Amino acid sequence: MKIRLKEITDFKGNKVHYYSVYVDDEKYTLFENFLSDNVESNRKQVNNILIRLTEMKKHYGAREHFFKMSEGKIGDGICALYEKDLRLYCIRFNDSIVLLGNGGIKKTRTYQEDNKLHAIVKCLQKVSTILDRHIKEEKDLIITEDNELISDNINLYDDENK
Amino acid sequence: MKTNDKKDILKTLLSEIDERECKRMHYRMGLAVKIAEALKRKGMNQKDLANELGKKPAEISKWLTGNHNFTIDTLVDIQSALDIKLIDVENSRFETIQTLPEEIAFRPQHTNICTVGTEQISAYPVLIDSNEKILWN
Repeated sequence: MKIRLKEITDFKGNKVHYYSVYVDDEKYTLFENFLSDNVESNRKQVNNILIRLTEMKKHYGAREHFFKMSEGKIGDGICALYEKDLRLYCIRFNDSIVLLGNGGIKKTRTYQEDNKLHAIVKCLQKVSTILDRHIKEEKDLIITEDNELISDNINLYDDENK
Repeated sequence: MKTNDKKDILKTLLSEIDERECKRMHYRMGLAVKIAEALKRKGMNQKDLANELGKKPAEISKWLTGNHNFTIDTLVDIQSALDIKLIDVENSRFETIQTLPEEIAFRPQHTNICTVGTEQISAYPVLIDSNEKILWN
């Protein structure tokens, strides 16, 4: 797997930096796919999630209690913003850095029982592993003092493809 | 969805968001932050608050996501449990405001005396705000 980071700059405010990723050779980021896949069927829920993301960026920061934590494995930072049945899976680094992934309607008790959502979370887990390794190695990706992720717009690879 | 539409979808959606919805969410999330901060200050966790209020921990967790539409009763209970102010009515000053009759023809400035028809009457209520600032006299 290879990923490329994209900062999302359309939200107003300065308390949070939002990012998403292009996976492999996809033309759209995970978050763009989330919006386009869900906006028609769940407009109100999508809007509410966007309002919450805006409020965090403008006023409150990405506080842990706003998210449903531990949606993935321990330590991978995967969490979800939810609005009724709609889930937006994210990787929360801290109060100031959040990577917005994909999501969808959760119809089953756990996301693991839903093939689509399970695949989305597994994909984010791989993204998390790649980011974590590059940050730890301080290679091609750094977190600045201003809480920005800098990757020089390059592709980041997992262990199998590096 | 067309390529450009999909690239611009976020910008489009953000431009169409209702201001009233934003304001509501602002307050919901603000309340969640106040509650979370109070828990921290008091050295309590979500489970402690759940026990105190006779709720399930999952409900407290839902409140703290900032997406809960609280009832007044719940807010009052949380205030008592955490010793914080979420609703403030005690400091508001309530004045009875008398509707002014349409016949008022003349009202001298700096007095509460006014003329209604041919009759002079006095002591209309003075409209003030909570800082004693005169809004109408």
